Amino acid sequence: MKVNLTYRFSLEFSQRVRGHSFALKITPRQTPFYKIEDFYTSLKLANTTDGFGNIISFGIINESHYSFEVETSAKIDFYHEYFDLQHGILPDLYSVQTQITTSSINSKQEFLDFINELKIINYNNKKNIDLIVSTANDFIFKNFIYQSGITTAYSSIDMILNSKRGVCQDFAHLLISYLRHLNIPARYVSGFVTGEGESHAWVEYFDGQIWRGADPTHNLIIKNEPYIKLAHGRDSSDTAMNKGSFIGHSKQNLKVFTHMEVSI
Amino acid sequence: MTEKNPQLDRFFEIFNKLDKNRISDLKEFTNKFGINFNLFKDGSFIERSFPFDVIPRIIPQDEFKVLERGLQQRVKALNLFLNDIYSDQKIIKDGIIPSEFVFSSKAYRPEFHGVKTSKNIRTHISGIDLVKNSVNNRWTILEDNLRVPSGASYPLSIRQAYRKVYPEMFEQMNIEKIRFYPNKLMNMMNHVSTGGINVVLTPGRYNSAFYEHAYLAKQTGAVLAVGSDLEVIGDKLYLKSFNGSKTLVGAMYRRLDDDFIDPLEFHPNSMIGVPGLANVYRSGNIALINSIGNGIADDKGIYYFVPKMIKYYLNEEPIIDNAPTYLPYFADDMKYVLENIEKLVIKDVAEAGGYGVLFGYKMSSVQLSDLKEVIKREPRRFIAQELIEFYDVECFMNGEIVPRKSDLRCYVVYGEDIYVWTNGLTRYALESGNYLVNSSQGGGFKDTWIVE
Repeated sequence: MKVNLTYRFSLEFSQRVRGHSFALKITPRQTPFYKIEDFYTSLKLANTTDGFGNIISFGIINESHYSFEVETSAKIDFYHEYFDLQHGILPDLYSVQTQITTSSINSKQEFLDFINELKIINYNNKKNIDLIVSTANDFIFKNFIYQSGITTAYSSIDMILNSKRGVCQDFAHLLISYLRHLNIPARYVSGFVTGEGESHAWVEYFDGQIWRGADPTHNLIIKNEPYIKLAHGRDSSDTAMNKGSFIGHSKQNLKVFTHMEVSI
Repeated sequence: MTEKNPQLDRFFEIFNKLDKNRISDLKEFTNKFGINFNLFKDGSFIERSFPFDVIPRIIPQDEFKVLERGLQQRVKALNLFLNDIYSDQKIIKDGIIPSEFVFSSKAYRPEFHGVKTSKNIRTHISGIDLVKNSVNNRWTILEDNLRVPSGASYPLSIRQAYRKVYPEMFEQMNIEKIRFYPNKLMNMMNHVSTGGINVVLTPGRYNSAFYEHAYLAKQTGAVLAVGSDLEVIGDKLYLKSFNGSKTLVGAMYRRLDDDFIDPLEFHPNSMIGVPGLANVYRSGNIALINSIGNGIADDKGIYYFVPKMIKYYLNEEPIIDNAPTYLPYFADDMKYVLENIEKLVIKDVAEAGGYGVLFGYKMSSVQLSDLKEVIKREPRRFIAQELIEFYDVECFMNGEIVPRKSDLRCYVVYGEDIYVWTNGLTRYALESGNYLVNSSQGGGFKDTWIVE
């Protein structure tokens, strides 16, 4: 299966800024299940790779400006079902909760209730990892409501546990938190799925051999659906599309618009 | 108990014949040259001179030779450990260190996994803290400092003054020269440089060690810079000058912690770093002295494993001892710690500079049982050590000679070779009976003489 991907990434400022340094993670990663063809980007910046293998584009715009925009397109050839190989950092890193995936005192009880309702699963049998993940995935999908505006880009799982509402990012963090609670390595993935709109977030879990994909927002164990990976890490802070600093009293607004459709 | 050696006797022989007023000449020098250690205490900024004692700590040369070999061995192993942790992680795979000691430490920086440093060196400048055990007469490592160890400029400047004020000592005793240190630093920077000039990056004059930053930059011929003097262009780092010209930087001795060197990567509000610097480092276009993420090797929880690292990477027995240490993480050690807590020193692994250190013998039974509960709840957070009996040094205070607790920080420079500086920072506690000698806890310092 081949898909055509186009996306526009833009940063808009409420007032002019200058001395604007930034680091972007908006270039699709290579994976063992798809091949990137005809890659085009208007971005002409230096590239490097972070410790997770994500591609970082970085640079500085010294001149005063209001906005910054990148247009990208690619053809992606999916030739295998979704998975990732284990290389680099050992999977155990992803068994350690981060600040975002830890329930604080404000949601301790909600987290315990959440775990208790999920206790149908035999935690200790590692053979059941796929079953554990799909059950938790299903549980989150059915018990939490997708609603934007409740949580922010920096929310920990407290918000979704208390309000029972959130967006893909929160659904992913909650599933990760649960899997780490069972000592199953799980990591956060940002990227694109078919259709039009914003970027998406999902989860990869380590089954002892390879990394597999689970998307709690769509109650899906990812197999042959075209999911394109931008970045992965311990939580959303490792995959942030934009990190910047600038001179000027301005608010910045990040917009991503993607269009992805199957071509064959 | 103070230690005696013939070299120290010789010192007193000379010292006692000389006019005691010379001591004030030395003090005058420290004031004149502004040897300060700035402190933040109770929210306010205090610039104070670093107390200095006239009696040097004397280490016989043959004894120092052993230290030298031991420190070279230790730093070599720590550097190999860092290279391994940020690449293959073999020491975890082989079960020598449980993964959670690395992965749950805040000092570990997985976002820099896979970065290859110039010449494979990460621990360019190490400050290793030791004491001399008065029971078994052996030197013991207390702590490794592999991030931004400070203090080397103090003995360097005081030695200059010493030579002027007490020329007799240097004529009549065979004292190892120490002036090679800046030269070794410079050679090391040149050795690891990725091409370009050398820079010392300082947070500015309010930093506790600003005196030292300026001093070392001058001595090594590097440019002293603050963050706003530097700019990332493309994937390289440049020094800006007033006329608009830009000079490529190849090595940077940064006197800022990881957290502050790049607002894009770490603290977004840091005004003292350089935006984009971390990505220049990832691209392999700058030698950062020391490297990013070194904190994992001097983490208090990892300290326990250093002797194991020496065996694992070098296949050698450690030449210098660690202090006897227990990790409540291991069941046997937990049992021992809970049963013997009143005679142990408990350290919170997340704290540094003498903070978060609890002495069991000073605590009430209520405090001890509270502490036990915390240890049981968070075993990974603490290490416990036996209280080591170590030698006092003699200090000249208010006209008399008094014993004080002291330690020694040895500086090791890893460039073309691994060089142990024939000096060090001897710190002593100002009050009698106090075991904490850290500068940030208000200790003083002495010159350290390696004498034949």
